[in-house]
Amino acid sequence: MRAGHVLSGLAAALCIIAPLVALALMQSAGGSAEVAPPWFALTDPVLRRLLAASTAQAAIAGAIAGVCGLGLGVALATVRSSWGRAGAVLHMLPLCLPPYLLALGLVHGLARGGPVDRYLGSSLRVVVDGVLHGPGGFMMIQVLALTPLVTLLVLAAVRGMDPAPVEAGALSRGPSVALVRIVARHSLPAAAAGATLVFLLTLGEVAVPMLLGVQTYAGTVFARLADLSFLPGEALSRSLPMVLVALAGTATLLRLDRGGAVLPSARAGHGPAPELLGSGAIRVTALVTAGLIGAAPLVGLAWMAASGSDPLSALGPALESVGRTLVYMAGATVPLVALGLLGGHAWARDPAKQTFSAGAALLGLTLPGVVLGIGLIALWNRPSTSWIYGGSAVVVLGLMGRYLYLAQRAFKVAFNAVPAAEEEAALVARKGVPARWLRVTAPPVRRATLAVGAAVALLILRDLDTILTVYPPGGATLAVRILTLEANAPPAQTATLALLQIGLSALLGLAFLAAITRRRTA
Amino acid sequence: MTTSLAITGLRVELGRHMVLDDIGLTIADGERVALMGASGSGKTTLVRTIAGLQLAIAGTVALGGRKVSEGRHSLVAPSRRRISLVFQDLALWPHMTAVQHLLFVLGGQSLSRRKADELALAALDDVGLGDRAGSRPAELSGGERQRLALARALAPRPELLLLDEPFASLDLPLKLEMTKLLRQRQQAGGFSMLHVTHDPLDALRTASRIVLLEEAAVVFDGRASELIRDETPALAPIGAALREALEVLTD
Repeated sequence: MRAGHVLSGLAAALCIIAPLVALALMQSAGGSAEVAPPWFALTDPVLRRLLAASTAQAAIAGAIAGVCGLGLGVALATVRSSWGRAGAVLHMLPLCLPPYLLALGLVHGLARGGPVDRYLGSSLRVVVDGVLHGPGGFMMIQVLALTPLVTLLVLAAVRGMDPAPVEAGALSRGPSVALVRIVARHSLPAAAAGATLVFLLTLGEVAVPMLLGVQTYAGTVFARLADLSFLPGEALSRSLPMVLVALAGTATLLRLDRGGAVLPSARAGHGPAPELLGSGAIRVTALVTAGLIGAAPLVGLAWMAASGSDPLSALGPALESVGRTLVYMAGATVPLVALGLLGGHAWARDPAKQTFSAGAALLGLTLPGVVLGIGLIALWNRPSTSWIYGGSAVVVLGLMGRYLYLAQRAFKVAFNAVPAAEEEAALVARKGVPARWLRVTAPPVRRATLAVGAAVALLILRDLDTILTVYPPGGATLAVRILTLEANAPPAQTATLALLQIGLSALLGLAFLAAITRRRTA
Repeated sequence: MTTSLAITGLRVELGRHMVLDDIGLTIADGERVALMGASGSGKTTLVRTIAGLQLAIAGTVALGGRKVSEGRHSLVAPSRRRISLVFQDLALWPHMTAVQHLLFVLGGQSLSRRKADELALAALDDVGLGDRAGSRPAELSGGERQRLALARALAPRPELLLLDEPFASLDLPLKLEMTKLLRQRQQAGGFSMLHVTHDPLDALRTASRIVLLEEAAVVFDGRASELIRDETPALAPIGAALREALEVLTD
């Protein structure tokens, strides 16, 4: 257990804290009059206005996603309908893709040159184009992409509920009141945590605003710092507001998750029986509607691919980037699963000692990918460590920093469902550490290991901001290649690559679903 | 005397396991019945089926002369059956204060806010929780939580009160206190009561009649004194347990 805490803390220190420290030390590295003070971005009126606008957009997206995700999560947890489940799968799909692809599908697939253009006339196209190419479009894409995150958290919260209080509510006031006053109320911390994450991820999003031509704070940080010609100290001063917001977000998330309220252990309960809560026609309709909305960008991309000539010609050159994606994916997934297993076990068995490792790891998730990336560059861009900076290692470190928390938190949930007495019995029987891990500790979380592996791989496949900031020359992933191709290749070819990415995500998504739904045979 | 509960030919399956098979049971208005039996004999399932939380595959359940379920069909929603249930683990709502629990269950009765407040506070007073109205379940002691669960069940003035072993985990003094309180409230309210318990002491203190379930069927239905005297081998152990409990109470 102690080793698990140490390893978890070391990983968080290496992948998240050290890059941030390096970012701060760049401030003093310049030594010239041109050094920007750390509070420069907070005092400059133009940057301050941009930061306020970006924060407001992210807050609106978070609030909308929170409300929608709360309703959809409760609906998904309390219906037993194949239509509802099919709707939910389609609703989840956007979460598995870079939000950039959704924007591409909606803007270029459905609107510009798509069905809107062809069947509804150019005047409507101008209106749709105007809406999409602005803050409204940006927020809409983010809500579409990230609401499923809230849905999943709420689903987990409801499934982890003790059913008796819901039955008590339904018995005294009927299903509808019980659904709102007991089930939805119980899920509020999960929905609030989800909304906070949506806010933070929207604030850090770079690629979608780039495509839609929306100026955001994260976008200007990326544009200014990613070309490496910035002034000494500018990295810290431009990143500082986002670091402060991420720190506040981390504190909020940790507070909301006290006592495992956000991701409860499977041992806590099994949720209310759907039969008790009425026919669920409205809930099924909501899920199907959400599914259709989630599928719309995919239809747009398919339209794009089918409308152009020679859409398959982009596939050959893209295979190299697919290979690199798989290398990064394997390179980060394997250590993340191993660290998740050890760290998650330590967090579950001795939660009092997780303060540093959990807080630091969560900061890695809440920090914008571009800030984490700039920190990694600041840390490793030196002659003695060029083997890290110039190769795949820096990408792997970035991905580990970003998803370390999720891997460990997922394993913590899994281990919480396994009685500690099982391991204590093996300890009393004087079994050594390897025997205990192989024979007693790890087997009950086999399915969780597969699920975490698939989920982490999926997140790495969809990651764009972190990789975009740190990937070495010639080291673009498939998602990055689609982004760079969009500006200078025929739309059909870009769409074909996007569909390839969707196919890969779907495969991993199916692996994840198989891991979490497979029945026990014993 | 009219019947509060009438069950005929009730069959319930959980998965492929027959949990209740051809059960018949009636409870008169104001009658207090203890439902006893070994673990897994179907006691909780029977109570949940009466409440409408579990669907049967055959048989009828009638409450106050009105059929509420027939075969696989629920004819009256659980919230409209005029029953209350005290759950085994109490099932209190962690985000609500004591008075909010009461206001929640009274909320379906079209009362003015002022009247609902009055009734809620009176219900808390009745169980000795008048000074804990603003406390959440986590801030209450074990005994206070039991009282709150009882107050919540009694506030809507049910015609039938179902209790699913709510006192199972209590120590003896608290158990005696709660059974006394329950008896007092039953005498004051006049409602019928079906109390699931495996503790002969609870059964003797709260019920005037005992129904014994074994292997999904009713094997005894009568007064405690009859069960104590019954020399049928299958009933002898529970009869002996009741005799011992009676001696404890007499002492």
